[in-house]
Amino acid sequence: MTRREWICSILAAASIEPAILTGQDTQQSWKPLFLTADQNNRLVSLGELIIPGSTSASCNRVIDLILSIESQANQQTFLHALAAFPADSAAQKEMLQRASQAQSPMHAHFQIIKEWIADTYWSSQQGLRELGSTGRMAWEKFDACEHTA
Amino acid sequence: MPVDNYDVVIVGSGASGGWAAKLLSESGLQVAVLDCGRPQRDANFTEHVPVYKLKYRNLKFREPVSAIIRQTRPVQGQCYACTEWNYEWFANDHDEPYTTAENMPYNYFGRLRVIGGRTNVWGRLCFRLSDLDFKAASHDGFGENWPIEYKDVAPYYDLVERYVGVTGMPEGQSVLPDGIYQPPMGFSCAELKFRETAKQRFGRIMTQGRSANLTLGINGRQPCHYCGPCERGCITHSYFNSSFTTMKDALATGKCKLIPNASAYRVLMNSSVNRANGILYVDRVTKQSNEIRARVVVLAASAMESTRILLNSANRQYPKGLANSSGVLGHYYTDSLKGGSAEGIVPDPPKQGSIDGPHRPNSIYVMRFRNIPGSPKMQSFLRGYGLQGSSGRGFNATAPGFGEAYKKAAIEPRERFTIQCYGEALPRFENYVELDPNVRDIYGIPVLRFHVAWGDNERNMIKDAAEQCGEMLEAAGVKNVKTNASLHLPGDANHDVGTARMGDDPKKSVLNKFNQTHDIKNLFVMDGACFNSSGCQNPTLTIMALAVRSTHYLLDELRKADI
Repeated sequence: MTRREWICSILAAASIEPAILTGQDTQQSWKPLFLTADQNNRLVSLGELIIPGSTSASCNRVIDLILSIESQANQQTFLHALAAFPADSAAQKEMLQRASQAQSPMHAHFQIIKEWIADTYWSSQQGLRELGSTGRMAWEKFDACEHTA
Repeated sequence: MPVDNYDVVIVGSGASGGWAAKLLSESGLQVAVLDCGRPQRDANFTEHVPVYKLKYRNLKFREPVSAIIRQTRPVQGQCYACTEWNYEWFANDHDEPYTTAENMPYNYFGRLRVIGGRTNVWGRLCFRLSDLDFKAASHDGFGENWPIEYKDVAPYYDLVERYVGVTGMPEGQSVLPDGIYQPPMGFSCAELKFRETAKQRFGRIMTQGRSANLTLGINGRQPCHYCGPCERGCITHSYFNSSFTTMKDALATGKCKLIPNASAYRVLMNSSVNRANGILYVDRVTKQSNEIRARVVVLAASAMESTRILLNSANRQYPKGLANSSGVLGHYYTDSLKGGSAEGIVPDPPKQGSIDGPHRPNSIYVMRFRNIPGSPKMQSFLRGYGLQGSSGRGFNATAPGFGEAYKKAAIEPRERFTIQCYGEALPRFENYVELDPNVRDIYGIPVLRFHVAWGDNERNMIKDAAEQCGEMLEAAGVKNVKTNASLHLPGDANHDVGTARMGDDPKKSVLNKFNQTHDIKNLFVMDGACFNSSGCQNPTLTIMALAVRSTHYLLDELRKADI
């Protein structure tokens, strides 16, 4: 087997998906496990302002799923932070301008929500693609520095 | 109920047990291997499963362990190698607990429950010990020398390295003897600059981490394809895992029977002739006790578990634990110190490459430079440390702000350089394990209680290491360097060794220089429990070399009918 053939065999064995966005699951039957409908709506709106694209990456659904098994302390910390933001998107945006400043009394709440949104976004297929990921899993060599030691 | 009669029964199928099984069965002996793990197979490997395929995305929030793993493995999950991809390979901490002495926290990591043990998830770094390590007591007066020298082990290092396949660079340094290496993988530009700076400014040797990853195919195993997360398995078998190497060879002989899901309880004895004659174990599926009989018993269950079996095998003749006439069984626990680190940002990271890879599956390594011949003696600590780290491309998820401006800042590539100390902990009698008289696992087997704490020597070493890490990174042009002099808990390095140390004096040691118990001729302990001191090097290569050496000795003794 040549080097090329075995790399191909790796890719086949790993069932690598084509690097094409599958898009938002549009099923309307999804219901949050942990969040209320109002909390979910607030999160979706806030998430889209913090990281545009987080809605199509279904960040809210992943957050809801993780929260459903999280410790009570972590659940309450998240809900407390979420409740600190208004429900209306325009008002949220105005508050984010202030809350994103380190000296703001709202900054801790902002950081909590942003952490959840960011972690779920950058671990989504959509987020990884924006970081340059193509799903490739095999290389012939390491990209070593070509300068001589 | 007695089952079968074997020439040798081996407990454990990992780094040492795999070698014993391979060599003994290839010599024609009938061998049985008991392992507490489930069968391992390629279909279990997840190194190519992307994170977005995981139900909970392997994410953790403000806790050391993710919510899903916390439910069953709150301790194992703290180990970097235990993730949502593979956590079911690890012991359930609730089912198989351990305890600690008051105010002596300990992390008992790396308790694998798949065939191959820790070699499924190990860090793969393969460093030889030197006579600076085997004769450490002669250098600084602390503890005992090993009963062996480098020249006694060197041929076995050669044998193991050839079979395992180790990528590395010979450097000609006596403090870290060279081995037999496959071609190296190379450095990033920042690492290469660090190597030059370490040598020119500090007189220190930075080399590629010598790791059990192939760059040339051997024995049907393919070269590394640089995907990165070896701890999740490898469908091309490019790293060393005993489940698809030594154990595979052993089973191919037709002479080796593997019994998975078997928790060894104690060694069975014929006390009238002072001979071990089998193992009592619990079938983890049926919870039934079984016995297996053999002419020779080899414990290779990992340092702590082999000692646990010996302690659980106490009888009238050996009331403090089997083969423990010395009274040192369980004592002289030692480990690698982990901590003492620095990190910073590499200016002008290269634009090529992507977050996908290629990922080199090993670190860089700065050889020990403290308390070595020709260097000034450190006043604040004995022994020394090596430094492990890497520079790697990433992104900036923690960039400030929100919205499109945040996204633009977050995806800006950046290269972070991190380096961390792995140091030698002093082997002290006071650091020990014993049986907890009040706690058993769900199989009814008494568990270990750890009495392990670091002392001033360890704290001072880590402080020095953090300072040196910072100075070296800054000298190499790394920016925003931050040092961290914190010392990880004992156990965090997954390098727990000792507790049945080898020695020439039966009053001071459990094993002789061939890993044979002083007290019982047909009972061997072939894993890291035999360590007299640990050096600062990762222990697995030495564990394997000593297991091979011990197995050759056992075969010689069997041929002479001397066992």
